Amino acid sequence: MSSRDGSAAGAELIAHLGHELRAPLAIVVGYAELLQRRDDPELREEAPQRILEAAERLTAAIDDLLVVFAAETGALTFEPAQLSLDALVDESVDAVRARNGFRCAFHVERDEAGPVEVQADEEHLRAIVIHLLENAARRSPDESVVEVTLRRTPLFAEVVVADLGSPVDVEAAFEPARGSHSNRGAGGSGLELYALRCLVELHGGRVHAANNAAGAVFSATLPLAAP
Amino acid sequence: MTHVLVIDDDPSMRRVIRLALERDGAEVTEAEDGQQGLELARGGDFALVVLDWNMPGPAGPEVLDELRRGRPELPVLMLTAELTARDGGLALAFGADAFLAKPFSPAELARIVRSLVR
Repeated sequence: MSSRDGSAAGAELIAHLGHELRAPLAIVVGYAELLQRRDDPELREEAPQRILEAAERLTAAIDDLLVVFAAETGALTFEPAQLSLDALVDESVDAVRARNGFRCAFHVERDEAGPVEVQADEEHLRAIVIHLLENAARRSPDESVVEVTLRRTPLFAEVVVADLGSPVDVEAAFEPARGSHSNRGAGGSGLELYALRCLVELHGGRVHAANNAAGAVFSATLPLAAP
Repeated sequence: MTHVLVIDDDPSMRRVIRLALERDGAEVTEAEDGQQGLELARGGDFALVVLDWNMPGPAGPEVLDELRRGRPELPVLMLTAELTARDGGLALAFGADAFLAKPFSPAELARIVRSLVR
């Protein structure tokens, strides 16, 4: 990448950063001012939840921005260990379901050869799996069943998450400024797929997006643990 | 009653705008993306459009361009959430009548809407 390309990408990221922070902040400021000026029971009832959701978006945006900037400056570190992908997916499914109010369910299809072990940083792996699951939950209608497949390829472990959302622009899905519009307004930071890509690539894996008849499929590969 | 079309893909943002404008006596119709906004604008009797700059599908500038072709007299207030005012200036260059940077005061939003439909 030339320095011009790099500065253009940096400018795009900064513009995106502004959007991802200012958009939820607008909701916080808007509700706060409306509450201050108006004594309305309906407003009093709905405002706290909307403000909390906006605050969650801000927190998620800050977390993802920290990952992205650390990755781009070479400061993202990791401590690989042998981890059970199956166990981490099970734990993450429970966490994501609880967080999104059990709006959708996850069906996990496991590798027929048995539990999959990967060589990964535990914190980063948890973030990768949660980002994949939350992305699918946000994109899918209520009561959906998101299909999660765990499998081995000769060199990698793969997590494949098939949702029931609208088609995605597969070329731009993991880019910082384009891929995440569908997540906005539902708890997504807007940078989560780019942060996901940074975390996966740090491990030497790859991310992939595709469309199918039912929705979209997002997947990540991670290095298998040594047998 | 002033009928305002709000085009923004963020449901919470649309809700804040609705509350701000209804409190000010306006009627509000919401569109969740640019395509729906253009369809509603073609058939509706709106006095003004509040339009988000950054949306999936046809984004604010494309929607504005289409609106200008079909309804050149319709005032458009563009909302931007970028880090600098650059896009606000661009919004005016694209033909918006006014722009407001997020985060904004609902009272300020209502004031600008009133001044544009006067």
